[in-house]
Amino acid sequence: MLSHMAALTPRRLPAPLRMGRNRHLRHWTIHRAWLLFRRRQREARESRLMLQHQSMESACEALRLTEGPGTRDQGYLYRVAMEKKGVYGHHGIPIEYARAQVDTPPRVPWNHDWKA
Amino acid sequence: MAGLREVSRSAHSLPLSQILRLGQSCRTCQRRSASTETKPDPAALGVVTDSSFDIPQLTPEQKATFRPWKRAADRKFNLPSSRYQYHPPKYNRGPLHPIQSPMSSDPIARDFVPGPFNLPRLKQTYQSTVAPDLMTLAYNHVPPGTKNKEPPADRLRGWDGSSPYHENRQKRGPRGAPVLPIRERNITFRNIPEIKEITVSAYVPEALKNDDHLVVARTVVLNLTGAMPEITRTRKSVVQWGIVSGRPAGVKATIYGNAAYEFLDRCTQLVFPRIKDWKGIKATTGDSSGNLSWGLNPEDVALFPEVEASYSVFPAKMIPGVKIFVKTTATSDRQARLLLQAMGIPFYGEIRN
Repeated sequence: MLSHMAALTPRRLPAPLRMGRNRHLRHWTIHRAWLLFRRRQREARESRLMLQHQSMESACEALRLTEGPGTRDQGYLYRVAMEKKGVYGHHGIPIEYARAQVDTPPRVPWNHDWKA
Repeated sequence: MAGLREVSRSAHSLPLSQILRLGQSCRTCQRRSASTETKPDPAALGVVTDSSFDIPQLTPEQKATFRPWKRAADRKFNLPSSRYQYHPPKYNRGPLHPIQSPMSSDPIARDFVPGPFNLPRLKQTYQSTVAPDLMTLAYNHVPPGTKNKEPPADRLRGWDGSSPYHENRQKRGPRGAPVLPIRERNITFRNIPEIKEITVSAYVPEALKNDDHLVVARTVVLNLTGAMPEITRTRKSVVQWGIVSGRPAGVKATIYGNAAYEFLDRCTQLVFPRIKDWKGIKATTGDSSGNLSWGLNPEDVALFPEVEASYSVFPAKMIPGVKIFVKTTATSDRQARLLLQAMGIPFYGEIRN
């Protein structure tokens, strides 16, 4: 849990690492590669979100220009879709949604019959 | 995308090339038959043939031209001796000084901390699922061609100019509020609420009488957060409560990023379910700019695994209650509540804003 024991003491930073030329170059290469890796991950994440947002936009735009089912006027479905009823209320997101993802999830999420 | 939907959720995050490679290897598995092939396919046995540690082989021309000793001999200037080592500056001399510290992520920096060594599962869940879902849930369509709303008129109060001293005087904030309240922004793909930092603070006025309370509170908060707590002091003197201003009477510690996610995970998974008759967090919490907070009793603090594991170490009467402040990038309380609900924190009671 404690990330850096020396950093826990206030107003005293640990001495910097002392590295020779080649060792420094090795560390520098790894450091740059790590930054590049993280940057690629972040950009992939952002572009995925952007694509999703754009497709939502185009879908809503199409919905806005369609004439609703039966005799409904233009944009009826769009107005219904844009209603945010209860989103910011107590049950906007059900509590079951909050299940952290793990590498090996159990087959039965919750054992209701469990007794201590 | 329809094909992608069939593969598992974790495979979404893989780059497309890897998914295709998975599919190819499966196809070779199906084609292989024991009667026709004498040698087993190493890929089918799960043996990794290509390694990321492989380096491209040098061509003969490259080998012929690669003569580092020649370069070293022909060098006009000597490299600095190996005794020379770059030392990052000890003091921060301001942004305009030519000597600047390297980035903290640089391994030679003085404040370099190695890591991260793990990906908190709450963070992974947030990035892969919660963030897109929040964006979809709170999506607000703006038809193309809609004119941008006029930027709000000056929200600060000016001076009427009745006095010559009003010239160049700073404008005032709104009536009744010392600072300008933040305005809510729509949730878009660039603006999805996220957890920024968590502050854990404990106020122990008993420390004025007995210093041990402060030591215990400091240890407990250090155990909870893993960051060295700061000592806070009382602001005002109140005779009836027996507090004197300026005396140390509390501790606080702030954690950022991964540590904050881990802490929230521990709260929602280990502590909240074990609190007796716990309804949730009051929905009226929040400072109307997206920062929510709640408090925990001493009995609830003892439920944290860090405290529980070494419960006998602490004097039982001295374990403090703590206040937990979650700072998010949300621009309003309701957006922050949406984020924390998605993280597994229930709210109860009246909803204000």
